[in-house]
Amino acid sequence: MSAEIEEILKRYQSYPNVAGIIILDPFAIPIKTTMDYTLTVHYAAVVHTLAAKAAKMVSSLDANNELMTIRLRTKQHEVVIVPSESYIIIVVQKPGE
Amino acid sequence: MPRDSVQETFNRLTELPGVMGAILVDGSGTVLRSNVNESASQVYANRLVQLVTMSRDLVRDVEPSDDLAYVRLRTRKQELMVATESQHTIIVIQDVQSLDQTRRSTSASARNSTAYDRGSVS
Repeated sequence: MSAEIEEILKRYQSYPNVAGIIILDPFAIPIKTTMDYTLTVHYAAVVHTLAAKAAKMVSSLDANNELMTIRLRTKQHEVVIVPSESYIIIVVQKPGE
Repeated sequence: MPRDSVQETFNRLTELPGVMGAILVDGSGTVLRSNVNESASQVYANRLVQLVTMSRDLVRDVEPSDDLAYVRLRTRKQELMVATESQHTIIVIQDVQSLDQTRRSTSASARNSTAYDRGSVS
């Protein structure tokens, strides 16, 4: 499993302007992070709730549809959330991409 | 904002490539403009306004000096773009294929936008 995680990390690290990457398990426990601990735990808690709600919303609007990614564009960053069965991946990018 | 320019902006939005629907919602969750049927508009409005509030709280929570610009939800069939400005929320529903095509033709952004799609990074 850790090889897979390293691969995911490497893949996203090659993207432009990545400020940090967090990989959570399905229970929102951080299993890998490039950011400091406090921030990681903070993101984990809030993103997990948002991702769950968004996924439920998508399937309630259309049972045959499925959420792939959530992108939150803010003034200072872009936060990309990729939920999947095994992980929740959070990538924080700086703007200018 | 004068009514004509709201309508104009709204019309311009609906003419963008791949736009399947556009819904403008006011601060109290009432649908102001939409090119989607009324009941569907209201359903989308209710759910997405909630989601965007949650997203904005997330952003402010993690970084109090930051603020949410917009939320993009990419699903298998569509991409939902939700943006808020003062009290209004605009929801744009776009077809994924047209979006990707537009992005591919401006290749720099395509590298970033489509690559996160789980389908293409397996």
